[in-house]
Amino acid sequence: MKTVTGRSTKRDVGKAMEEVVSNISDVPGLIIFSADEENFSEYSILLSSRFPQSIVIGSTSYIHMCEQGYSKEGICLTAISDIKCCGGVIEEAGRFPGKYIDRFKADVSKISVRENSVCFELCALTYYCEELFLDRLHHILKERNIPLFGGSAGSVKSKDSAVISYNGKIYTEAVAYVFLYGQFKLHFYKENIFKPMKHQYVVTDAEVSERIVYEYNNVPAARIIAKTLGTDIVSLQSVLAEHPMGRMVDDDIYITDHIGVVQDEGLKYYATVYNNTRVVMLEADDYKKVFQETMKDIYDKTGIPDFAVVINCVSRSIRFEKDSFLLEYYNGLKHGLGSFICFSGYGEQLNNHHLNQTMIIVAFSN
Amino acid sequence: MKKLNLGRIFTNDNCIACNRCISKCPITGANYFVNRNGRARIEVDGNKCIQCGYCMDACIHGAREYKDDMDLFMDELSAGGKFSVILAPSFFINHIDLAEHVIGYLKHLGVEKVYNAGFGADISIWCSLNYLDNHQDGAVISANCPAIVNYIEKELPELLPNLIPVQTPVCCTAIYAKKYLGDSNTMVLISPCIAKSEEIRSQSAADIKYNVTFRHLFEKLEDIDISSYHGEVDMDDVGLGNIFPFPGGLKEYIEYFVGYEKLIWKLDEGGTVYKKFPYFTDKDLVHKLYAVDALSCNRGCIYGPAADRSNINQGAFFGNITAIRSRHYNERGNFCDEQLPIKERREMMNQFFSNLNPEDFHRTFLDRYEQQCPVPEETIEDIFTQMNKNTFEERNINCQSCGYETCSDMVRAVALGYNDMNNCIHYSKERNIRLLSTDTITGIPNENAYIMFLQKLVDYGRASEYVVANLNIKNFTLVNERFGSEKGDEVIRFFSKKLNELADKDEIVSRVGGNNYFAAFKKEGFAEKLEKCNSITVQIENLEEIIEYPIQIRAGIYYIQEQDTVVSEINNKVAIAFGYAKRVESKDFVYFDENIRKELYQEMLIRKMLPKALENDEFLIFYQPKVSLETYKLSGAEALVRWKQNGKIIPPIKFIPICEKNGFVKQIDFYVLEQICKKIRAWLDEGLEIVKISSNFSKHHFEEKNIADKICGIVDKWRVPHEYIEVEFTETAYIDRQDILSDTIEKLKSYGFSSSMDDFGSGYSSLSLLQALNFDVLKLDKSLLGKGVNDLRTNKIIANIIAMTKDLNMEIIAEGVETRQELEMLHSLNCNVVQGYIFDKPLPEEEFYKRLLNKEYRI
Repeated sequence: MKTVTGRSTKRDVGKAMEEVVSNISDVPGLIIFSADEENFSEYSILLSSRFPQSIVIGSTSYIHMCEQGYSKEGICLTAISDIKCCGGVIEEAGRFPGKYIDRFKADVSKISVRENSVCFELCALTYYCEELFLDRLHHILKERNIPLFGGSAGSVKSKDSAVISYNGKIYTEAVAYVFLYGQFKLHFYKENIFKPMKHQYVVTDAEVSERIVYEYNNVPAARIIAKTLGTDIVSLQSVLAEHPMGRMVDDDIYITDHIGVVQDEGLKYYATVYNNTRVVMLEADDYKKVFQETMKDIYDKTGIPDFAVVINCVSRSIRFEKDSFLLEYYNGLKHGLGSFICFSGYGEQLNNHHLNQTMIIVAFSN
Repeated sequence: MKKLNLGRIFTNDNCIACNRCISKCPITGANYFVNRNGRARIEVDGNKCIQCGYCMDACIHGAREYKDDMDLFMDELSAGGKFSVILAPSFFINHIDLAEHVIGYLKHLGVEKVYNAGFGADISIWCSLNYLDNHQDGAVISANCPAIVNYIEKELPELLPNLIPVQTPVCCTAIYAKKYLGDSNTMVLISPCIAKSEEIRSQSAADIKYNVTFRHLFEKLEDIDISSYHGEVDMDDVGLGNIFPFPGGLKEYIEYFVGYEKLIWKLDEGGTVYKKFPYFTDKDLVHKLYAVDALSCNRGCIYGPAADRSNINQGAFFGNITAIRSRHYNERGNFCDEQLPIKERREMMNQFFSNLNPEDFHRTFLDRYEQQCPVPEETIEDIFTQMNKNTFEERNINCQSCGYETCSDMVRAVALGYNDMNNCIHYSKERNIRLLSTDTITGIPNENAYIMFLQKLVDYGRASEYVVANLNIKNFTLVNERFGSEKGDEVIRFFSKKLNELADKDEIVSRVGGNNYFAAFKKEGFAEKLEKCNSITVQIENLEEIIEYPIQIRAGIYYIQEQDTVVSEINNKVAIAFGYAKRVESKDFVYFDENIRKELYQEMLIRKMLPKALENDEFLIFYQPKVSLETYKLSGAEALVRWKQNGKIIPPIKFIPICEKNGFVKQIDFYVLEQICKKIRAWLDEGLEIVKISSNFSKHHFEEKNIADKICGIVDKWRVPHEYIEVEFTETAYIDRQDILSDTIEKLKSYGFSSSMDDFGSGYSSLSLLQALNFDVLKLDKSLLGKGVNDLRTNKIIANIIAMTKDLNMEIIAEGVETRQELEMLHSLNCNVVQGYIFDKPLPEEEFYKRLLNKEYRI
């Protein structure tokens, strides 16, 4: 596996393109990129037409970051050569991903059982239902023991402008996937920068398809959360980002982030919450320390990998930005991962789990 | 919140949430369990409902109703609207006798045209046959049943390409009437089907505005005599259209024109028909079929959910069908003529409809599928755990009482909010048993569980392997007083948990209320466990600090014997042992034996006899003289109560502690005072020179503030000068309510009474009490003399106490003096007064009277 990253913040798309692909000397099998919303469509088309034999998959992102730097404008990409890959798009992913599942199955069947493989995806959905396609894909992947990771597209302006592209075509309601397979090693890392508090709740009334919880412990959700946090419903929105909810699964915590207060004192989330499940309120951990530990863990287990893909939640990026930690974060990734590309979107996916406020790192080594 | 009950089919107030509708409904999530104002109901999600009506047939409580457009139609008709009515062909099977009258009445109301949709069925079949012959694209499923089309559109969109894209008979009729007959009236359908409403909404080409159902129509006509109205249809079927609504009618119609070698699958098994549809995702299977005649209702459209079954003449029903079939098959010169070969029938049919453009009757379908949210494995696991279903067997009971086929289906429904785990009969049953046998505060077994456990041991003959204990936390009220009841509850929970952890699988610890527990442990290893029970330390967070509080227990214990076969008797013994442990402060663990039972029995007897004894004046007053060491004369006396029963004297130690426990001592104290005052009065009246008599008052009196007034009242009642009465406060008087005690002493002083502090030097009295309370007399406890008069230390202590009391202007009385040496020592130490056997034991009244006459003592 050979990787080349490129980055440009030039305002002129043509010039930016030249800059970002300047180091690509061969025909890569796969190009993954993130670009700003304004020029995303153009970048998608240009990359695809420049590399017609490559799979080109990308998404908008809150921040575009690779080892060369980071910014909110411009483009970052990674071109991967000497690797086998195949991919496609599952449209209507938020309503009926099963409709297009045959193409996914067909791609899985191309992968030999003797080869190591991983499925990377980027998705853009307006109806908050990543779990729908994850469930369908996981159903097929688990038979082959193929892990999946990816992220929901991010944006600077609004969630509606978060889109993905596959081979030049833009999608607003789809998941674009690519299988990478061959002889390489993979290491997965997941980082939480929140820790559980003592407040636990049972979801007693949730509109699952809407990702809204109306009641915890038979009390209106916003009311009980506001009381726990020592505030009122009117002011609750300002503190919710500091206190996402967590599902305890064995020893792990899967974070579910608040979108905000909705009608009937409900709370809407970025991930699905099920009735009669138990959740715990989280509070911020010492994220700098946690990040250090993550990078140390990667170094201890992997050394500096050949290449890494980082999926970092937009909420984390915003927090790091606010706390002036973003540079330190970038430096940490750069020194710890070497060559990497980082996407910052509205959700992170790992196998059949859709997560919020999480960082996923997948390290590739030969 | 989810908006429910807004669709065509809805739940009314008759619903009792019996789950029958869930069990019959082909759509998961179309029925929601809700709690409305404390009442459980199953309501309908109109978006998911396919209006098959299975729930209406299933409901035996009349809780499911439906809406059609009856009222809208009638209102618009009476307002002068121009209507043409399409009558579903099943009308002519179900209500042949009424057909002409209904038609006549409708026309009387203003309906202009009435069309038999049997004609539309003929068109629909003609179009379908042409399509099937010219397309081998897998579109083989008839789209005539709107419930089935709803099902495929909402649940199995992968089968949309398998639906024959031809309009239904009613829509064909409407399109034909509009386009080919030039009928510009508003179209109304009268049908036996609720789901037709959704069909006509989606098929704009047919432009049918209303769906009126047979049932609601006949309800409307119930009080109207329509027998005088007559009318005919303006367009009737020409082929086999009228056999269409009959089960297998479509199959029969198709076979009539294509022959029997073509494979046509008839699907109309009612409740199970929807389960068959996934078969058609198999493309190989589909391509082997010519057509699929699919109906939701197992008796076809004739018996649809909105058919008026009460008005169907069952006897005439089959006669009607036979007549219709006979008429069509025997009609000569028509494409249904059974004498014609199949090929000719087809040609004649094509000829008959040659003026029609099949494209006019083409139909499209909508992909209305919304994939259901998947429920992750860990959520299923979590909910199963909450329902206490932890084994494979428990998770696969699959009794279907909840309406779902499997326990896993039910758990998914709970996760998605369609249902509530309390609807699982096994969970509810098990929870009730658990509530019955679990202590709600601590989560450990409760008394019920303990009794059941013990009973099981007895039943299985294993009780004698066990020892039972009744235990509680000593001085637990102090925890509540010091840290508050919330912390007290925390302590209880922690202690209960630790205690419960000591019980092995075949042992039990249960909380029976407050801080009381019953436990049954195996005899082997019990001693060690008992010690562990008594070694539990709890950490209490109090303000900023954490306090380590070691728990000490008190226990009554009984080793069950072979002969113990009755649970209540076993519990009685352990309760007796525990009761004894509570009584005897010095013993934390009391093991039951028969002597304890006897002792407690005695105590119970005494308790019972006390009130009567008081009534019968069985209590006698004895007087123990107090002698002045200056004059060796009688200077006072302490009144002591004795109980004479049946000629025998019962010593105070036998009954006073019991009286202290049950508060009866208060009555005894007042009785004694009354007797003393009565006697003093009598002596004064005789002219005797009497001395001060001290009367004992227990701590129980200081639960109320007016004790001084009560004492004064009694003394004054007998006109006894106050200086002759001294109030003596007994041992435990000092521990509780010092404030009331202090006020009482001051009040008594103001009334002219003196007060004495008893048992100074014993465990109950101390210097701080002396400091706080303004006594007149200090009584030195006899325990101070315990080490002997030659003990220098004792001497010094007594000397200093005496000196102190003199400095405080108090009188000092030494109690329990029995020897001359003690007397001399006290005399040398300037003790004022002595009371003890050295002078006199407590004397009966007559003896004391003699002492009053001769007050001198010689030693």
